Amino acid sequence: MNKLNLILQAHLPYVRHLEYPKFLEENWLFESLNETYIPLLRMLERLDADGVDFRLSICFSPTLATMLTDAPLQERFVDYMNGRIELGEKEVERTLREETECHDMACRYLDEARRNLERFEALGRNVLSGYKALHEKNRIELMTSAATHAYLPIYKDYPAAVNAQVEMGMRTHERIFGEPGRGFWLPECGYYPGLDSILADNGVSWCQLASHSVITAKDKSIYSGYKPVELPSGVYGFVRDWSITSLVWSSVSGYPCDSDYRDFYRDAGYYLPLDYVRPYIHEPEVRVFTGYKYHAITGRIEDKAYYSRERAMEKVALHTDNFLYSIKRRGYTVESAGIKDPVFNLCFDAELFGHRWYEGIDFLEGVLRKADASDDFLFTTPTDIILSNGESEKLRLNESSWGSGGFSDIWLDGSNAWVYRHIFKAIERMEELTERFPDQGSLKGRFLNQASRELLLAMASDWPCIIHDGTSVTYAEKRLRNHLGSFNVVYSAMSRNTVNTEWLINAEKSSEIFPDIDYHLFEKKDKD
Amino acid sequence: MILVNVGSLSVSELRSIAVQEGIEGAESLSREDIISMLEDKYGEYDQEGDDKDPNLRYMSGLTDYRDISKYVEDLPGVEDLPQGYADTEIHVIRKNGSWLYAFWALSPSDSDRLQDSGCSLVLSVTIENNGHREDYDIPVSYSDSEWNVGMPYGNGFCRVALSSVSKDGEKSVLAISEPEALTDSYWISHPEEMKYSESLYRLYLTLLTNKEGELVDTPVVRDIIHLFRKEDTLDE
Repeated sequence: MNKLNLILQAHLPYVRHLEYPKFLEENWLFESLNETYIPLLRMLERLDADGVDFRLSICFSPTLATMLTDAPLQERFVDYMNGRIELGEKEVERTLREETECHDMACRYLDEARRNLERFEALGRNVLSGYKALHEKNRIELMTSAATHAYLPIYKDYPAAVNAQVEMGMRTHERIFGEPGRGFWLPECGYYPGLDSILADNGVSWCQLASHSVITAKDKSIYSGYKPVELPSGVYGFVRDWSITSLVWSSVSGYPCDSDYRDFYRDAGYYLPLDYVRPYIHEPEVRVFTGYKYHAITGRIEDKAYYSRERAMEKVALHTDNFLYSIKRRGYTVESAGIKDPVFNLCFDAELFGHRWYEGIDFLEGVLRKADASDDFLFTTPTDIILSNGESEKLRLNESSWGSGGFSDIWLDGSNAWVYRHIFKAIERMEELTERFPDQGSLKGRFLNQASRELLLAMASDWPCIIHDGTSVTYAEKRLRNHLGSFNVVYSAMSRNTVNTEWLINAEKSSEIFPDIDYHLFEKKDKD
Repeated sequence: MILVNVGSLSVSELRSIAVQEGIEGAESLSREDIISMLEDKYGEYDQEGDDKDPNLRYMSGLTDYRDISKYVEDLPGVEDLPQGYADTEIHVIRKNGSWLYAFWALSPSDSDRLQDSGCSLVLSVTIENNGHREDYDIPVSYSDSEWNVGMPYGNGFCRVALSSVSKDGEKSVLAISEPEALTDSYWISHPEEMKYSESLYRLYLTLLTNKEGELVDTPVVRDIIHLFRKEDTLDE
């Protein structure tokens, strides 16, 4: 029997700019909601209703969970969906007259948008309540992550800051879902020796680990990642299977690259006349994705074929079979090496499914249904595996991540190294503030709490990653400068023993995250 | 990771990106010319000439709202970050298995004092590996503030100090980093066991090799696999 841990990570950085009527980067959330979080939930609810026996783990990062429960952002999402539906209605009409090959897909997109909005409203605009209901049925294990998805190995010289990320992540999860999580998604699979002690201190039972962490370990691994790893603190690590996940992840040969699948980039927002799409793009005339995409990947050519849903679904069937067959074959190999009932840990970004890979949710549905109908597979969760008291091995690991090169090269390169000079200083100053002002309530306490909030937001791994990738660099740099600059406002004022009340009220309004934050989080801790 | 395919972009999309990137006359250029000019353009941004997927860069034209800066500057609370801080200090961060990134700052008073007395600066690197200690200096200038320091695999640590050296050669430590542990891998320190571990080697490969037979992109893993192959007569 092959045990499968499907672990999805849903994460977006905290983006909320209510000071503007529309803000482009907020579309990251809206697109992901409409194309991944709601359709994924609907698919899982469908499986549950059909009596399919499935399990998986999902991490909603604290920043994403906060945005998903934020009333103004929920309201903006409804506006976004109404725009999408309005465009859909126009598209259904247009494709009766021109580009008639697109008509079926225009109808499909419109129908999907209406159903998603309907489900969203039925859930009281809180999609997480739907996931929580599945968690309560023991279908999914909900887990959390670092408060702002900080890449933790870079901060290992500052245990208080790492603890603040872990503790605030756990606390936010409990506040939103009503119970503590047992699993903790290490942002970017970033692990360093000693991190597991901080996780253990905060009540974490398990985390996921990079695939190469086992072969490079300080101890000899016998199970090679096909059984849980017991880390020195007693926290269990589940090693990502690079080989199997590459069947999906590979940007060269992964299933999502198939020429019959829908193209992500060819979007009506970019090629239909400006006057037609103007109400649905960004002011003044910035063309953006509208979600109406009618072409198949086809190949590296200009003239792309129109998308055929029928052909794509045939490929989904082939790919789900191939995926399970590959696991089964791999299972024989592993069992022949003496490892009974191997555990395959399949870790993915949730937004891949539905948003970037349109057919991805159909793929997951197919895999879960077929696995349930087979005696060869058992989808499970890390907590169930731990509670079953099966085999594991104690290992001491080196630092590792799932980034290119296996360490920190993505979050620390020539383009983004400058940020750490400022963030490290801000951490040191925050630790200093907690010592100098150990017992502040009321206004000064709020001021210090805001400094903690700004510092956590500056530590997000998203900003250096975006700078490294060269996508939305201007925005990432501005956000970093904003949070660090805001931190410095507090530090300078507290150094003069004053509080800038007007500034504080504005800052609290702009970052409505971590309402229960306490600046004592940053009290200095010994490294060991 | 975002799956990006240059072939997915139409001429009009490419032209739109080219205009945003400030390429003149993009409206009349062919698809191939625009791709070529964009590649040149993005090539200019590469600081280290590494092997990033060049296709990834095309996302910037599609997702980055280039005019956003003028709005974001108006966000409440934005203050300019200081060029530096008035402390003498040094930090190291591990970049990967073989390199540390060191960055440091010299307080204005220390800088003035040391330059007035004609002192030079060095990074003093200490590596303690399996009981052996190695010390060496890297000369740096007053305008330097960062350096990459190489480190071996092994059981021990690497530490970097910022030191001044007086005219008569006397060295004084100004600031010292936290120690950074070396990558201490069982298999790198036990190559003699590899020839008796063929089944384990095969097992490791099952997790770390894709369907094309390519190994996960991690130099430490490549080094270990290379050792396995060297220590034994295993087929590739």
